[in-house]
Amino acid sequence: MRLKVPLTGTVLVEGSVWGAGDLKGDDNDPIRPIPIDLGNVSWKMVDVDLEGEVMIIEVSPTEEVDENTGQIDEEGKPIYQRRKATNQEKQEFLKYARNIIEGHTRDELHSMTGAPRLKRKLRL
Amino acid sequence: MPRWSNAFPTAKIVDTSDDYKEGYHGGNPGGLDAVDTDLAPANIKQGVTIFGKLGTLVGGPLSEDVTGENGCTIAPGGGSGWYYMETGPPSGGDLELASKALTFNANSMAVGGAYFYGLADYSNSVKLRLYMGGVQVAESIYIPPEVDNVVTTGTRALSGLQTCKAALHGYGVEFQTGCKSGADSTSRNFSGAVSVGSIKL
Repeated sequence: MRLKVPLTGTVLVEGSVWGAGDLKGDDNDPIRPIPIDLGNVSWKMVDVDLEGEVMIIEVSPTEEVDENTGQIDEEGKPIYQRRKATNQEKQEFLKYARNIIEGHTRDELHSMTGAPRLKRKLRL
Repeated sequence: MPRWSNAFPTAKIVDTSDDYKEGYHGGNPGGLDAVDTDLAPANIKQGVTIFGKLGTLVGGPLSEDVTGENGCTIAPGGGSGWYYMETGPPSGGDLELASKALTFNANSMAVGGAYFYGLADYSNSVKLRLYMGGVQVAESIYIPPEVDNVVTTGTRALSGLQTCKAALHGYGVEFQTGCKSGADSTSRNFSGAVSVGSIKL
């Protein structure tokens, strides 16, 4: 499943992540999706759209989940049990991630995370 | 009027030579690709037309550009038990595990990997990130609350001097983003690493 997530960070060199690979971000403030927790999924970058200020990502659900057993260990920390995620759960994980992004406006997402809009210092 | 007594030489083209000799040609009704079946779109570079055949071949010889990696052992910080140091990313921030700077060819494609061996204090609180050239290219599933290996990979084109970095990112509230570190019950140190390699296109 692909999502378009608003960007934050600082652009040092304008360009593309493909082709000549000119796009460069500030290592201390990398170009990245706003830091919103998408839940039980992982993702990989597909492309960066600087004009639209979004990163297109390919999202995949986790294969395993850790469930709180309700018990605690000797240090008082919760004890978890890992198991395979069901197909229905995987669909729910994807739906959750999609709803977070598509259920809010760009301004709302920036506000929720406190992440500023993408900075393009060298843009004329 | 004199009669033409000498037979005009016959000639034909063959697939083993590019000669196009003078003489009478009977023609090749099946086309040049019937003479040499290597004359095919799949054998011609994309966008190039040779004798009416538009090429579709993409790419060419590939060669290695650069490779590199860096790792870290997360040092124990004191305490008791086999998981006795708590370190981790701040809530909403990163804890860098390892980075590697390399100078990439102007026309190269890079593949990177980030790795973490350890656990998170709480489930659903920490993820592993991979940055390449100042751009986040991948994010893992949650670091599990039991010791495990977590890996994530990503790709992008890079050129010039660029840094690739593996980092943990904290999504939980502050007290929930700690990652146990030190060594596990088999004395294996918890660790992180980043690796990257690229090919010239």
